[in-house]
Amino acid sequence: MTGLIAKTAAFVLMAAGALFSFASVLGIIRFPDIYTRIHAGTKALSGGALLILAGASIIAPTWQMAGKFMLVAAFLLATNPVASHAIARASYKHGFKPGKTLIDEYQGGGREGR
Amino acid sequence: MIAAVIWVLLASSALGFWRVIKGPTVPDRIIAADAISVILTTMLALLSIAFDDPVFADIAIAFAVLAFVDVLIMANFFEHGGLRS
Repeated sequence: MTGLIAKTAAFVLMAAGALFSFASVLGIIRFPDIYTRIHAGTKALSGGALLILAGASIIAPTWQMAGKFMLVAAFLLATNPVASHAIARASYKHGFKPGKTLIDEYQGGGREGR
Repeated sequence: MIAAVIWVLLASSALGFWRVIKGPTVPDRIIAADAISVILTTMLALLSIAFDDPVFADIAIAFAVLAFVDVLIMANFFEHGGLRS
């Protein structure tokens, strides 16, 4: 009985994570701007990866594999925002302006940008 | 059931590779490659369950670390226009 419940929960989590990943890649393809693509790519994709790894660690056959999956999930949760911030900062410093924005508060590094 | 999830992830990474090929600017390609690397990490975790082989889990850990360092190096190279520390 508990095996059935655990398997059902794991597959629900993995299906939700696969849906998150597919929606994230769809956002990367369809969004018009580099910053919106960064938003779609990183935020939704880290959520999908965390859901899939949680489901995989539920139905893992041994404890060691579940621990490794949780390690990968914690590492992705720590490093994915750092990577996306680095790319966004590099693209702003390179000169790509976000389209259709009214206030650019990062311009000039503070308040005189508005 | 695990095979269905793996097929959905494979289709997602194939769709992301279209952005890598077509992307108008360099950060588009970097973001799409980062997305493909994260999807591939989760796919390795699922393959280690499907094949019942713990080697794939170790490869998933190493691949996550390598992809993170890779994206940071590419962003630094793109920001400075060359190799500067």
